[in-house]
Amino acid sequence: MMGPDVSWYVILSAILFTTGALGVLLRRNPLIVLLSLEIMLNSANLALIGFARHLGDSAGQVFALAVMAVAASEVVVGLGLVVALNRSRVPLDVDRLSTLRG
Amino acid sequence: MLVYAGAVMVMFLFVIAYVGRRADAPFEGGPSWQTLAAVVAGGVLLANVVIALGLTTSGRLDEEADVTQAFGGPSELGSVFLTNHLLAFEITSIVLLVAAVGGVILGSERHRG
Repeated sequence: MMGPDVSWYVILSAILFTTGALGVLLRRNPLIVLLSLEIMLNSANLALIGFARHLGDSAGQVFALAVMAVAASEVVVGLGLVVALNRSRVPLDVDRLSTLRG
Repeated sequence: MLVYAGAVMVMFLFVIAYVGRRADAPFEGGPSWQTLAAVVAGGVLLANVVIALGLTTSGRLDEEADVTQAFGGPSELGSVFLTNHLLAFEITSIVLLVAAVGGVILGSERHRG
C-alpha cells in the first residue's frame, strides 16, 4: 500500500501540537484556548494512530479512542464553565479570570 | 470519529454562537514581549520535537509492518477493546458519565444558590 511515510505523520503532528501550544499561549479568549487544547489532543491522536499503523498494533488506536473520550469530557466541562462565566457577566479574558470567587 | 466530530464541534459552534459577539483582538497595541516570547517558545518546542524524533528514530522508521485488510476495522478494534483493554474501556465510560453530570450541573441555573 502506497502512502506517506510515518515520519510525515509525526512531523504534521508536531506542527499541529505547536500550533495548539501557540494558541494557548497567545490567545486570551477561553473559547479559543479550549479549541487550541483540542488541536493539541488531536495532534497526539494523529501520532498515536500513525505509529499504530506503522507498527501494526491496534493498541495505539485504543489509546486514541481513550484520548477522544477525555477530550470530549474536557470540552463538556470547559464549555459549561464558559457559559456559566458568560451568564454571570464576567469578562471572557483569561488574564482577568484570576480569582475563583465570582 | 463521527460521534466526536458531531458532539464536540457542534457544541463549540453553539457556544461560539451563544457567547461570541466579539472576537478578541490578539495583538492590540502591537506585539508585546509576551507575544514574542510565546512565538519563540513555540519555535523552540517545534525544533525540539523534530530534532529529538530525528535523533532517536533515524533509520528505524523505514520498514513498515504488514497489516491485513481488517486492521483498524470495527471488529478487530472491538475485540481488542473488550479483551486487552477492558479496564480502559470501563474507565472511559465512567469519565464520560462524570463529565455529563458535571456539564448538567454547570449548566443548571440553580447551582449557585
